[in-house]
Amino acid sequence: MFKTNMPSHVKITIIALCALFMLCSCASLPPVYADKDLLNFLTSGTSKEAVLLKLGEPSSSFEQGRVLTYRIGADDEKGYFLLDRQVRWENAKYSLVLVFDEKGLLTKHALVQVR
Amino acid sequence: MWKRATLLIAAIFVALTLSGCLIIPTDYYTNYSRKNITENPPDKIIPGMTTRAEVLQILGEPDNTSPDEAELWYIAEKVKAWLIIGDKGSEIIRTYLLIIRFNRSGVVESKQVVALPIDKNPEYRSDPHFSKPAVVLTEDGK
Repeated sequence: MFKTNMPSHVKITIIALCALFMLCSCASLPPVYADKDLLNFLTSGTSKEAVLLKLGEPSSSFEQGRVLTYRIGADDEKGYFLLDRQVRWENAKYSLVLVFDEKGLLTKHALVQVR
Repeated sequence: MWKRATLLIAAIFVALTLSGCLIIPTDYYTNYSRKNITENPPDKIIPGMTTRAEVLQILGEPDNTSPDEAELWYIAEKVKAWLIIGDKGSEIIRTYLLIIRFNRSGVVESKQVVALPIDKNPEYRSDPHFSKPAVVLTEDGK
């Protein structure tokens, strides 16, 4: 067993600092923001840039970026929220599918209920 | 003949129950599965007519995609039974795989639901699918 002659007050300080760092890391977890109006900006003609700026990186992309998908969760009271792509669909309720034309403008969109 | 068969089945059932082994049939999706895929391929998807973009609008993001996007995989898992042996229980889960194949024009060529064996699950890809940019050839084709 590893032994040290470290004074007890130094040990306590190290333990306290470790606990503080752990609490800080817990506090820094990003919160999930739900918004009832999250998808209201999506209309025919919305540019792909506007979509990416508002919703961020899509969960998947098809046909050289002509079709983008996002995983969306929903809270009855607070509204929609974005989810990262995961292997499973545990927290997602919808798959948002966005179809763009050759100019990068939104032509069709569908909020598909997957769960 | 039928009377003997009925008696035999009843005897097996009683024996299993007395031994503490019970199979309860169920039919519901697992907590982490998508729920818009069933044992039958969706009627809305018509081979020779429906495009890839339309399939995505009907079923949403697939669970797996071939690199050339010629196949989309949709995977659902259902609990088909509870198996109770003594004081221990487990779920018997069946995986359904909807495979949609497309031709080079991006139109549905075929649709098929495969019920995988209980002990064989598909390999999930953990990375998201992003279509590769089109290959750009130089003018001389090199």
